[in-house]
Amino acid sequence: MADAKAEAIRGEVRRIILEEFLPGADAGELTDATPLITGGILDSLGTVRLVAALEEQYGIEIEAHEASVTHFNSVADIVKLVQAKLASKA
Amino acid sequence: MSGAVEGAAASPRRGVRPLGAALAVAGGAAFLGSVLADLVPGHGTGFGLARAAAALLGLTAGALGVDLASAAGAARAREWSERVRGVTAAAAVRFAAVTGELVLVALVMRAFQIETPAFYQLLVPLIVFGFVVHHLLPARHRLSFFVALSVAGVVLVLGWLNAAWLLALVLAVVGLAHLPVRFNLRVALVVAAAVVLALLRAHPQRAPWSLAIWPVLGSILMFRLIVYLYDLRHAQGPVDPRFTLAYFLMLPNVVFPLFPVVDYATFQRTWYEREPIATYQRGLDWILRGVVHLLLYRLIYQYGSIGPTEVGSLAALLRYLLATFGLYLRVSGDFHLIVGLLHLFGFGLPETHHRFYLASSFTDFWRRINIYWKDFMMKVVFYPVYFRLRKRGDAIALVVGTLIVFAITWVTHSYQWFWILGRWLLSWTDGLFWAILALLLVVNSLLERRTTRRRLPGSASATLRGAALLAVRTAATFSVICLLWSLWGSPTPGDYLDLFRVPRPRPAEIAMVLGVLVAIGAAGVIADRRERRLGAAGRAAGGALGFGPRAALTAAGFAALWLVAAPWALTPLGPGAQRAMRELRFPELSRRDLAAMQRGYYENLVNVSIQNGELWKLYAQRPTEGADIWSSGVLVERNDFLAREMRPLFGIFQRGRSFRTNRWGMRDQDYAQLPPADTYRIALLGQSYVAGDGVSDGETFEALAEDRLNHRTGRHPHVEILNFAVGSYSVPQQLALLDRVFTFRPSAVYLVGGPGDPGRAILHLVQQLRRGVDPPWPALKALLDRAGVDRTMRENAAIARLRPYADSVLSWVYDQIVAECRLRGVRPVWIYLAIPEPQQDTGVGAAMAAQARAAGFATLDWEDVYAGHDLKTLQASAWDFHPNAEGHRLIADRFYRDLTGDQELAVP
Repeated sequence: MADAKAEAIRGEVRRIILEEFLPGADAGELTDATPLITGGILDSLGTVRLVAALEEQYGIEIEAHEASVTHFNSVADIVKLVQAKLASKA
Repeated sequence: MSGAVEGAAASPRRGVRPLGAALAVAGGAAFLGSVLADLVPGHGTGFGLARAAAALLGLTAGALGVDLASAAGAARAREWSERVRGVTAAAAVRFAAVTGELVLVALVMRAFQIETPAFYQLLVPLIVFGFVVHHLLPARHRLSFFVALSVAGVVLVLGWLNAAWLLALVLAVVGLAHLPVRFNLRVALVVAAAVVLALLRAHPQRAPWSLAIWPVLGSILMFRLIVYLYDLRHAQGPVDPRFTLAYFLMLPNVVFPLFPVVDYATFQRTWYEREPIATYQRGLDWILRGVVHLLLYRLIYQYGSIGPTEVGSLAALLRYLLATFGLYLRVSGDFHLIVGLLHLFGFGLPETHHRFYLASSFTDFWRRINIYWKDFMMKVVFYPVYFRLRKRGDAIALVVGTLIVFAITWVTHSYQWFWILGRWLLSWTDGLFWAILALLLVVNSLLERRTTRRRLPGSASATLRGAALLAVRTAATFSVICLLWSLWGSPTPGDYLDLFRVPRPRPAEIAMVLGVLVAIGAAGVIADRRERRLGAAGRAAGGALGFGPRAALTAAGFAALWLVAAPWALTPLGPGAQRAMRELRFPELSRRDLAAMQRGYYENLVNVSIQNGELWKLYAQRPTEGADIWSSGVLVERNDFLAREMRPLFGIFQRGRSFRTNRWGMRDQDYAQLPPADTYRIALLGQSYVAGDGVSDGETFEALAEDRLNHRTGRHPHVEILNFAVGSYSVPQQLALLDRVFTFRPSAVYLVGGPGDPGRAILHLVQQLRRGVDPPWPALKALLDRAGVDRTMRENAAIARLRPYADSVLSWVYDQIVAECRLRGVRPVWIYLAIPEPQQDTGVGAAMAAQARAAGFATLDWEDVYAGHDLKTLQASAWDFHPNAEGHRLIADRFYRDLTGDQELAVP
């Protein structure tokens, strides 16, 4: 159940990133570990846009200090953050 | 059976623990012995490299001994033995390869004298030693060892006392952040401590510690403490004090006051995040890149950069703009070097700069240049502001956040120089630069925001149209930033605008500008395509090559640099190439800066610190007070063309030297106005070098020579040498002084000239004209009119106009001095005196002497007066090129020889 939920979040995060930040790129290029910030895919403006998209999608609130490499450098990190936010909301 | 197993396990434990205890005692003894040997009087005051290494080895052995002597000793011993057995031949070769590269790094640093002697002579060997020990240590000891190595570096560079003060201050301030009180109170305490330190920084003589530690203390705390507090506020786990100490004391900081703002969370997160050897290799790659940047910077500084007054054509303007922007390579070079060195200890930090000359937009430029600063601003300013305001709309949050980031960046640049230099450096052009950049970035960000779909980095040049657009955008961004950068370096906006008053460009000049733009655009496209090939993972890993090729390439790069630096390597290419390599290897002031410094041009300019690394290095060493005798009150302003003179009967003791004037306002002993009978009187005219800036009373060359002349055996008339020299006096001022000189009835006038004379002459004419004082001679006034110079013009623009007339001014003044002397039967003599600075152009004296001879002077050439001596040992200080007491003694010897020699100039 938890895995399915994580998988759903993962799919949604990947969709947003592929649509917004990697248009035209092969979906296979974006793995769970692809470095988003350190690899130059997400900059500060991109990060705040992704934050807004996630907040809207999941009804969560992400704080300023969380918009960092620790939470946004990979799909896996983002999924972990969203899961934690959803868990604390519940 | 069970008992046998227990016995087998207990047996090694019993053997390991005594061994551990012995190792701990021996290591502790070695550590204490090395430290105490250094502290005991008679063993020198510095913490020598060998003692530092011995102390570190002792400490390491002690720590390992404690490990083995502990209850877990046997397990640790097994762990080590398994680790040693697990080392493959391939891993050993890879480690040997990076160690070999690091040895080459040390050789190159020394060969090219990279940055300061404290760095390439002390820290780099310590780093080579530390790297090997650090890697071989068990992982849990590495961080502690890095802290110990960093502390050893501080002691090595600053000495025990200064190091003790520095460490105590850092620990005290950082300790406040960990007091068991509410976070806000801790922040308030840290701020209070910062205010106290700032007050002491403004008045460093009130602090009980040496001036030397301020730049290091400032660079350690001024930004990192903010990041640290921010991360402490949001930290989720307990704080590891080893990381805290490593973060604040990190090794190369002690010799790099201009240090990247390393992010604490990143510092922790990236420690051995990747495979160790790959991390080390990336560090070595970046060190090589840093060295290349620094050498390119030296090339630009020595051969490319020109002064604003030399901009008289579009080609010169292009050169000025490119060189000014190019000088930033000094910062990117240092930062690559620093972060590369940190990689050698496992800190896999991100890149600090990334092809910033090839940015394709202003936001892209901001993302690529000084990335650590951008990240710092994003983290502690932009995101907090943006997240607070975003409910009012994305655009408002973006605009306000960006503007606040740039306002803070502007102020903190000055704040940074305050901590490092002890003075604020705020200027209009500085503010204007940041304001324009902020506006460009806001507009660019809003435009990017409207583009809903973003592009993968490296994809812009995928099509021909995309490549062309990218080339245009890259060239345009480069052009605008280049123009902005020069604004940053200009004293006033008016001076900046004056740069662009160039004659109508020739077609060749326009072609040159277009060529540069096309080259930049093409380079942008090539770089973008390369990024595309790398992909995100490749970019994050720092390249697509595997360890072997990367190690081979980097080693080859270092080896090539080392070989090129060898004295014999350039012999076949002739003296020109050898001289160029000498200038590349031994960083000195460029001729332009040397000339400017000689005429005091930089005294009031803020951009000494902002953009000119070499001058900054000199000025950073200057004491904030009492550095300049001419600011001590000895000078009195005048309203006429002479502009200033020395106050009579003035006395001061400054920087360990006395400086007194007699009742006539000369830096000399007292003399009657009229020469006594049987006296040969010489009036000596010159500037600070002659007045004896840099030596005590009685140590000036004229005083020494006069004394010797009056102690000659045989019957000679008494000799008096009256020193009329005043700091920064130009040749036209010497002419204006002559009427007063002749009231002392000299038998001869000796005018001492130097390499800065033409520049100083036109500077004085311009400065007087701008304050409404015309030259008192119609001929010179006419020359100013002919040059099109008037009092409304800004200084740099007027100097640029007058520069072609400098020789005419000098010749005309020489003619007048000779004519005035001959009218009174006074012998006119002209002397060329070189300054003790290696970069001094040779041959300048001969050309100036020819001019003086043509006017009718008898001439003496003292260009080689310091021959056979290390010029650095003859300078008053590292930042003051006036001759010291030994330099004056050499000049006095020459003066005496010339005055007593068998030639036309001999005094009776």
